[in-house]
Amino acid sequence: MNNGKAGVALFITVVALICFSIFAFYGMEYLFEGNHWLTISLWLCGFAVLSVSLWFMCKSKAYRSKRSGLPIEISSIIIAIIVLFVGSIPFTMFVSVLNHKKEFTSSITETAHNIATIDSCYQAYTNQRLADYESYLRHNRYRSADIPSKINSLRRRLTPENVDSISHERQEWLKSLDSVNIWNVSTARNFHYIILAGEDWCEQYRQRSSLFYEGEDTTLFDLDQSVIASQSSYRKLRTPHSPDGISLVATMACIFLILTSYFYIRRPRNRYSGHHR
Amino acid sequence: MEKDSIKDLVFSPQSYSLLDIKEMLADVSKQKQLNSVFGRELLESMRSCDCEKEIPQGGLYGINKTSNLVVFWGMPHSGRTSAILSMLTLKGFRFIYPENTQLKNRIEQVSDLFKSQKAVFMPELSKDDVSEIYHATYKSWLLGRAYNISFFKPQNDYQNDHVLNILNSHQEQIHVFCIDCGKNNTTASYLEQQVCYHEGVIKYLEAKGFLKQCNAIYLLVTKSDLMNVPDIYEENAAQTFITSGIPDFWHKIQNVCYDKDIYNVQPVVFSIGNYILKDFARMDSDYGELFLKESILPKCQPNPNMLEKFLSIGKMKHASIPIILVLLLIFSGIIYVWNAIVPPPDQKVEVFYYEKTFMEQEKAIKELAYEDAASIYLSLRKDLSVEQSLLTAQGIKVLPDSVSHRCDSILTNDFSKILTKELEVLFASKKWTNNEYRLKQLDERIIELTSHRTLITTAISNYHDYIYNYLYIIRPLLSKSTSCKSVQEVRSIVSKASQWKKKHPYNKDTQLTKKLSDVRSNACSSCANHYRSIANKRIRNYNQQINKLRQNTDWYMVYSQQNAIKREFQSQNQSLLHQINLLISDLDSARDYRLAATRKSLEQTKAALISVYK
Repeated sequence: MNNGKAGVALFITVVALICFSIFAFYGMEYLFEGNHWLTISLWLCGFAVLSVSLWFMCKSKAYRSKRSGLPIEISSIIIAIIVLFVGSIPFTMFVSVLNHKKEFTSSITETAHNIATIDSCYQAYTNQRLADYESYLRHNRYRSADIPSKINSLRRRLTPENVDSISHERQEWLKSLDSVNIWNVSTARNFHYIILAGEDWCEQYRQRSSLFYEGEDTTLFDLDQSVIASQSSYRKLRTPHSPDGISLVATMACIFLILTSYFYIRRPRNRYSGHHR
Repeated sequence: MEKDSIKDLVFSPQSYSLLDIKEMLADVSKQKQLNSVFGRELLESMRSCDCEKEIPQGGLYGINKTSNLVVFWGMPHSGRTSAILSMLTLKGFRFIYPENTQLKNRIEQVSDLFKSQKAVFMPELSKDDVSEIYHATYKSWLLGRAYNISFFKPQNDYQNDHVLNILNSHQEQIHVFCIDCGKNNTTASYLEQQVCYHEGVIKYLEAKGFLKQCNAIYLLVTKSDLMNVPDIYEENAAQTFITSGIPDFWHKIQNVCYDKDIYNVQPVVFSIGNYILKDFARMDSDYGELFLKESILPKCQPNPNMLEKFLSIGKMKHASIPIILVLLLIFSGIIYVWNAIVPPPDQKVEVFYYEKTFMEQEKAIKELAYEDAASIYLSLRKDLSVEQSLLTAQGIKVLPDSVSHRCDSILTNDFSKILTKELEVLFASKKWTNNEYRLKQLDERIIELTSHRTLITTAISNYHDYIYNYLYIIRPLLSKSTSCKSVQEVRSIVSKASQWKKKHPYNKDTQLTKKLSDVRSNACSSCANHYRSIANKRIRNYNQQINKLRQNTDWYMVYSQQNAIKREFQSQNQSLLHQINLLISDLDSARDYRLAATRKSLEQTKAALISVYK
C-alpha cells in the first residue's frame, strides 16, 4: 500500500464493504418495512462514514508522525467499529432472513393466499348470520310479514354494495404478487403491503359487521387462524432478534475482510519505541 | 614510538602489528620476554600466522530497492566495514552475491576469520576510501520472517551521484553514525573531525530529505574494546564518552529525531573482537548480533509473506476496474429481480349509513310520476317503520331516533309536496269526481301523511276536506235525492244541494254540478212518486172495503159503514193532500219545465183523492 501496490487488498476491502453494506441495506429494508427513503438516507450516511473512517484508518496507520497519526487512527477505528456494529444489526437480520428463506417466503405466500379468501370468508359469515337471524325470528313468532324486511335490513347492513368491485380489484392486485424473491429490494415493501392489506380489509369487514341485532348471538368477523399464524410467523422473522451462529460468523468474516486493507498496511517502523517488534 | 621496548608493548599492545612481533621473535633475547607477555600458545599462533594475507576489497554492485538500507556513516578507519562484515557473518544471513567472485571471496574469507575459535591475523579490510554495499537476506527463525537488508558504507566524500542514487532508491532507511573511540584516536582533534563530518552528513540528509524516510538513527561507538573497560561497564563508558565528550552533537541528533519522528536510543557500543595486537585479534560477533537483533531488525520492514504478496498484486488504481465490474453485476442483479408492486387498492368497504341510502332512494321520488312515487313512498315508509322497530342485541334502537325523525320528516315533506301537486292538478280538472277509487286512495294517503305527526300544509288538509265532503256528504245526498219521502226532506236536500253546488271545488266539476242541479227534480219526482203510490194504495184499499161492504145485504149497515169508511179515508188523507198541495206549490215555485209531468201526475192523484170524497 505504501508503494501503491495493494490492488487485491483494496479490491477485497471494497467488495467486502459493498457486500456488507448491501446486506445491511436489505436488512434495513426489512427493519423499516420497505421505507425506501429512510433506508437509502441511513444507508448512504453509514456507507459514507464507514468509507471515510476506513480511509482515515489506513492513511493514519501509514502516517509517520505518532503525534498526529495515532489520535486520528484511534478515533477513526472507534467510529468504524461503531458503524460496523450498528450496521451488523441489519446485516445479521438479512442473513437470518436468507437463512430462513423458505419459511419466510412460505409465510408470505400463505398470507397472500389466505387474504385472497377474505371476501368469500366474509360472504360465508354473512350468510350464516342471516340464516341464524331468520331462524330466530321464525322461532320467536314475529309477524311473518315483517320477517323478510327485517332480514333484508340486516343483509343491507352486513353486505357492502361495492363488494363485487372491491373483491375484483383485490384479486387483480393479489395476482401481481406471483413471485417472492428475497433479493428483490422491494420485497420488504411488498410484504408490508400484503400484511397491511390483510389487516385493513379484515378491519373494514369487522366494522361493517360490528352491529348485532336483537336475538343474534355471534361474534365479530375475524380472520382464519391460519392467516393469523402465517402473519405472526412473518412478524417473528421480521422483528430484530439476537443473531444466530451463521449470521455472527458471516458478520465477523465480512468485518475482517473489510479491514483487510487496514491489516495489510505496514506501520512505519519509526514509531516504535520498544526494542522488540 | 619505541618499538623495541617490551614495556611499551605491555602497556599498548594495539600499537604493534603482527609483523613487528615476528621481527621481535627473530631476536632470541626478547623471545622469553614476549613469552611472558603473550604466553607460549598465543606466541606460537602468532608465529605460525600468515601475515601476508590480503582480503579482496568491496565495492558497489546493484541496487535492491525492496531492502532496508542501513547506512554506516563515519570517517575512514572508524570500523564501519568491520561492523558490517561482523554482522554479515552471523548465522541466518544469506548474502546476495554479485556476479563477480571478488566480493564472494571477501565475505567467505572474513567469515572464516570470524568463525575461527583462536586469535587470527586481521588484515586491513578497506584499504582505499570507496563506497561499499552488501545486500543480504536475514531470516529470523524465531519470528519466522525474512528481512532484506542492504548495508551501505559511503565513501568519505559522500556528495556524489552513486551515494545519492543509492539513498534515493530505498524507502526504508536506518542511519548509523559511527564514532571511533579507539584509545589512540581519542585525541580532541580526531573527535572533533568526526563530529564535524557527522554534522555535515546530517545537514546533507536533511537537505536532501532522506530523514523523512528514515526509521532510526543510531550512534555507534565502535572499537569499544580499546576503551579497556570491563564488558559490563562498556555501555556506561560509551554513554559517558558521548554525553560528556560531544554533548552538542548528541543533543543535535536527539532534536533531529524528535522533530522528524525518528527512533533513537542511547549510544550503542560496538566491537568486532578483542584486539591483541594492531592486526591480531580474537574475533567475536556478539556485539554485531546484539546490534542487529535489538536495533536494526526492529526498525526494518520484513519481507512480505505469501498472503501479503497476494494482497499486493496489482496497483491500487487497477482495482477500480474489477470493483466497477462487481458493482455493475450487483446492480444488474438488483434490477433483474426488481419487482415493485403498487400499494393495495384503496377502495374501501363502504360504511353503511341508513340515512344515506334512504335519502338516495327518497331523492328519486321527486322526479317520478305520482303513481311510481307513491309506490316507492309506500315501500320506503314500510322499510322505515321496520327499521324503527328493530333493536340491537344491547336493546338499543338500531336506528337512532334523530335519524329516524329526520328520514321521516323528509320523506313526509317530499311526498306531501308531490301529493299536493297531484291534488292540485286533480281539482283543477272538470271531472275530478269521475274516479272515486282514486279519490279514496288519495284520501288514504292524506290521512296516512297526517298521521306522522309532521306539519302538514293547510292546502293538503283542505283537499282532504274536499274529498271527504264529496264522498261522505254529497254522494249520500245525491243518492238520497232519488228516494225522498216527504216535502220537508225534499226541501232540506234541495237547499243542501244548492249550497254544495256553489262551493269551490264542487262547482268546477260539471258532472257534479249537473247532478246537484238535478237534485230538485229528482227529489220532487221521487217524492211525487211516493205520494202517488201512497194515494193509489189507499184508494185501492178504500175501493176494496167498499166492494166488500156492498156484497152485504143490510143496506143501512152498508150505508152507515160506508160513511164511516169515507170519513176515515177523508181524515186519513187530509195530511197527504196537504203535502201534495205543498209539493205542487213547490213545483210551481221551481218553475222547471222538466217537472211538468210530475206536477200533472200529482194533480191527477190529487183529483183522484178528492173524487173519492164525493
